[in-house]
Amino acid sequence: MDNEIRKIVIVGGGTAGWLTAGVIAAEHMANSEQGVAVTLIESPDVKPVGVGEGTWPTMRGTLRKMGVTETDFIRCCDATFKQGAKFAKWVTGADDDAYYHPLVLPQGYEQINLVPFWQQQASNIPFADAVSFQGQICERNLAPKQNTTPEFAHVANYAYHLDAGKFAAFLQQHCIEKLGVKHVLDTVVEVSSHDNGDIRSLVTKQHGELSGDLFIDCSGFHALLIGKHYQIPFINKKDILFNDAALAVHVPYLDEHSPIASHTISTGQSAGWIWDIGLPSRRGVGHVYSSAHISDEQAEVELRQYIRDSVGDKAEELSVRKIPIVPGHRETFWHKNCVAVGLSAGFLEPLEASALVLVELSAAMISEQLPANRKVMDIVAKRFNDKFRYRWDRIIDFLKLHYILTQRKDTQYWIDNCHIDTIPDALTELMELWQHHSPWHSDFTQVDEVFPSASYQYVLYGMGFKTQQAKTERRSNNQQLALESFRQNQQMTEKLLRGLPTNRELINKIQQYGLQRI
Amino acid sequence: MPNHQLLDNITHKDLQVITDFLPNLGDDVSFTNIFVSEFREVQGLYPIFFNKHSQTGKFEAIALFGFAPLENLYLNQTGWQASYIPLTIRRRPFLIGFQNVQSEGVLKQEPVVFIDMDSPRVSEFQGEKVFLEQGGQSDYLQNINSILQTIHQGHTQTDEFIDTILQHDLIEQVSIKVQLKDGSNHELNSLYTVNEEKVASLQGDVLQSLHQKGYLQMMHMMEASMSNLSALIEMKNATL
Repeated sequence: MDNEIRKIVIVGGGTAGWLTAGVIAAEHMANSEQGVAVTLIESPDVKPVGVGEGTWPTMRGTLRKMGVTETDFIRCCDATFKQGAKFAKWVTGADDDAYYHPLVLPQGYEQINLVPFWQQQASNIPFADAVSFQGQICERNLAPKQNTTPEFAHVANYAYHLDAGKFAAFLQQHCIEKLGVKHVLDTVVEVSSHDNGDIRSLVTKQHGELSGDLFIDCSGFHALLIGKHYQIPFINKKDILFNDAALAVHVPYLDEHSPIASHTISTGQSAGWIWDIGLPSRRGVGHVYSSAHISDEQAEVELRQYIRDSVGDKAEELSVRKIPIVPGHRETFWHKNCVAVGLSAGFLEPLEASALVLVELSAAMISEQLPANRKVMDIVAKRFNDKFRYRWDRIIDFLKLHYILTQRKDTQYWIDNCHIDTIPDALTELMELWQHHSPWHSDFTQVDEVFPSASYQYVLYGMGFKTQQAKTERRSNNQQLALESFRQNQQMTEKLLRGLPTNRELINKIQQYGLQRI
Repeated sequence: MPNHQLLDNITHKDLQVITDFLPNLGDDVSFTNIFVSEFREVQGLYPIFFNKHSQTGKFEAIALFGFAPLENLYLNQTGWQASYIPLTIRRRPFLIGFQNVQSEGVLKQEPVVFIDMDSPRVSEFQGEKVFLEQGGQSDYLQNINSILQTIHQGHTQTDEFIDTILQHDLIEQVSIKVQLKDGSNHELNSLYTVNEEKVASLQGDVLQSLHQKGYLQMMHMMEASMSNLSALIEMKNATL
């Protein structure tokens, strides 16, 4: 029972599998005899889902730690810069209804909560524009940096949009060639167990038995180990987050000079919303919806109508792929010597791009806390389960927040979303608190919270929420600092609008010349 | 806006070029691109840095002439006060272009000479003649040709040098802070130089190979060129 953890076997060759392999192999020196061996087994018959096209800013650190250069990544994965999300038609559904959730924190966020000051003095300006410059940058399709900014460094905080299929292939090559990950193309036919219920090995069709000390289930919705083998229950969250299907389509640009949006555009529909992600060579667009509220046929009509706005009649020719979604997650993620990462652990919906970041966070925690031996694994597993249960709950709350702040009553979907029975208690409680206090650092308990309180501010006040602050004076209510912060933000906005290239220009330059490491 | 024309002895037969160095001739620049082949001459006179090219974002070597845009402290109304002037200044108003040439069925890019006809150096009644009466090249043009040739080779050699030392992580960003005698502060932030400590701790094969290529010497020349910064500050103080 006290045997060391020397060999890790990952099942699944999608983005989750290769990201996890890369993070662990880089830290635990899989390419050295003294390191931990990492093997990834990929079924040649299973196609990855491959629609996760939006990341978080954390991806920059993840890639850098794996030893990837940003230039290679951008060139090979058709990546572009993403500076947040623009939510259209989520509040009233009117044509001019839109707000930004940028990735930069509000000006002076370490020192001052600008919400009360904004409400009193600047509420004629959208909240995101009053406290950050990023919405304005996005509105003009500008990049978050210049071609002289070093790799992974930013002028404005950013994440990526990318081609998920190319990303998996890119990571695979890097993992195999640089990080010493062993790649086995084969199908798992049986799981062989130790007496204590631990997995001993995976029996494959052609490569015999693959033994390991820790098994990571990245097999996607198949959930080969955590689901099929261990039967860990799945907690369905459809009662909170209704969307259970998506239609995805690749949309061509009109020409090679068409602007590339540097944010995800998310547009509310009658029974769901449409994502719109700009890559260099095409857009990735999809409609995610609640099948209880709309038929697949009608959802496709709405999707094609949306695409028609930019490409005209061509919208009818594009082929649409349906992806079923069961929103929810496992009851536990780490069981015995097996841990689930990616879709096998769960999936909610594409809103706020929480899928890839959960993979990164999971891989980072497994790697950082990799149990030295089997004896301590259960302790690490418990900590992992507690942490990720908390994270899933907070993500669910945050996603639900986008729906309950709507004023739309035009369809049952939006009305049902605001029904009190569909809102988690924790969120109801926070909403009550925020009636009188605006979100601030200590509203959440973890130091490494998935969504910072700033994100709640952007969504709440972007969607027109009103907080009635206490009328008594406070020493820390520093009027002067607030005005200074608003002024600084305005200066920054003007400066960046002058100095930043467009997203398209910068991507073209990187394709041609690359970025420097320093 | 530059007006680049392919140089030929018919269109430009009467062309003359002013070869003085003066502020109103466009020589009021605060730095210029230089090449490893001229490091030896440059290092005794100007501080050498790396800089990222604004169009490509790639590193290039530069000689620094001033602390603000359009400030060239080596330049006054009587000319350029230094015994060596970098090639990319001396080439003006000529530049290298490339033209597709078909030779034995193969399409090739060949270097050709262009001229910026909107340059204030271009004249028809003063300066050096570019072509002789019969259309042949003047000594002046032959000299320009050889400068352009050196520049053309210089790009490749200098890129190789920079790529190599980048691979060995020997370049670092520097911030140059200057206080002048009137108490004003100037800061140059987008400059890079060789990391002296890392260069000093080079060992074994890497050291050997950098030495053999002459790159070690280049880096030492860059380090030595820093002493010209104080001369530059003195020149600046003299203008106050």
